[in-house]
Amino acid sequence: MCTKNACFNPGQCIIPPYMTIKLISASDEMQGFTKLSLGNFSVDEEMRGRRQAFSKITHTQKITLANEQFQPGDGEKASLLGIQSEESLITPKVNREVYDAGHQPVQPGKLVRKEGSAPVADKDVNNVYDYAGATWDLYYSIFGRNSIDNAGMKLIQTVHYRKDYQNAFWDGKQMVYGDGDGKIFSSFTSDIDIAGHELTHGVVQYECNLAYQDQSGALNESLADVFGVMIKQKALNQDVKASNWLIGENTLIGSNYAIRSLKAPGTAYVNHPDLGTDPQPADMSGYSADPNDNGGVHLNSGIPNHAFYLAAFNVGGFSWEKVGMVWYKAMCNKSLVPVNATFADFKAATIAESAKLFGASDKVTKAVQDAWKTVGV
Amino acid sequence: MKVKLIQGGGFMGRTKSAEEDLTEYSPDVKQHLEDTLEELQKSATANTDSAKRDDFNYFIEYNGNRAQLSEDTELPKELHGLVDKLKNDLKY
Repeated sequence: MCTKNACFNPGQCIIPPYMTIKLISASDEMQGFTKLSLGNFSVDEEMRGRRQAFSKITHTQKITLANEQFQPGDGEKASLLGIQSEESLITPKVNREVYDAGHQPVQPGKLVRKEGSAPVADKDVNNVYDYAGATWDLYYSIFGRNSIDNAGMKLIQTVHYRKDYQNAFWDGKQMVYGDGDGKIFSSFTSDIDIAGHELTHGVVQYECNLAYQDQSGALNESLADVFGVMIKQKALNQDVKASNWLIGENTLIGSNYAIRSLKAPGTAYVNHPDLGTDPQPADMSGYSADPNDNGGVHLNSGIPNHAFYLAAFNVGGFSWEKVGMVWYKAMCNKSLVPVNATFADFKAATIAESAKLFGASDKVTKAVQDAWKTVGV
Repeated sequence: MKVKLIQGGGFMGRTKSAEEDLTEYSPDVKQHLEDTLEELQKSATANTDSAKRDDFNYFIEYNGNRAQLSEDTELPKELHGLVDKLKNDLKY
């Protein structure tokens, strides 16, 4: 049985203190709270238990857990139930709106589907509606985050932007998707990971707000890819071995092509008739600054992308449970990850957050350290 | 003398470009191009201040000078045809 301050040695206990989640029960409401000890479960049991427990606590409790940075030893101090009010017990829900730009350069366009309404005839509209729901679900159910701003922000998306537009982007307030040209790219609404990527740019904006230039920009891009692929894995219930770790596999036309690979940067497309070969580096030996792309933000993101893959794969299981949680906590740590953070800053942040969550000598922390070392950071 | 339009960034992060030989263009177009580049260079601000992510970046190069354009950049009407042609000709 873990005691509050004795959970840092993975050899003794694999359950960090934050996982001693206190659940409210009807019989204990008047007295305060009931302790739920997760005890000496295996890792899988532990994680299933944590998911189940986490799914039962209120939004405010989840937010408090997130805001408390899951500080070891703060489980009792946080006293989650002590801060409850009637208002805060309202369960947050996703709020989506999808607009159609009608192939014009307009935003947001004409409202074509809003939260709770039935699917429409347009597949692109339904795709992004569903993808935004899956993205909101991952952030809320796993990380306790209520939307992009952690305050219930409406998820606004525009499809059919411009004519044959070969891109998707986050404009600071909403997502925008083009239809592609039908030759090299199909619609950018074809992949859940692209929607997750764009929505995560919004999350980054409200957290560490990494500057979109050089290494901080590449980290911004990498976080968008990392959470984009986690959102895909969660939606497909894929563990690290089952996932293909590809971004944009349905958007770049051709069965052997994807836009990026976290597993093997530089191999997402090889000898493509128009694009040639994926230029992403997997480690620092291939780092290069592209003046046309804010110093290579979409190029050098391959390096932290691969670090995440290596750490998650070596830990095993579902990526979002351990290494994903580490990355999320690092992304939200503004003191360790400043606006102009370097790869080394983010490495230090992930190691620090992993040590907090799992212990400095835990296999997760070791996997994170090894991953960064392998990619040369 | 050639003018080059470069499209960088975007979700794909790959560069596209197009060139146009201005030999047959009127001196008026060339002068507007030089003036526009000079103005753009003077008013250049770091686009990292923008909250847009995965948006395209556009650059124009002419006579040894380079300047960034945005979707919102207002160009003299004398350059509209040239820039539209370059955008249509963009290739990886």
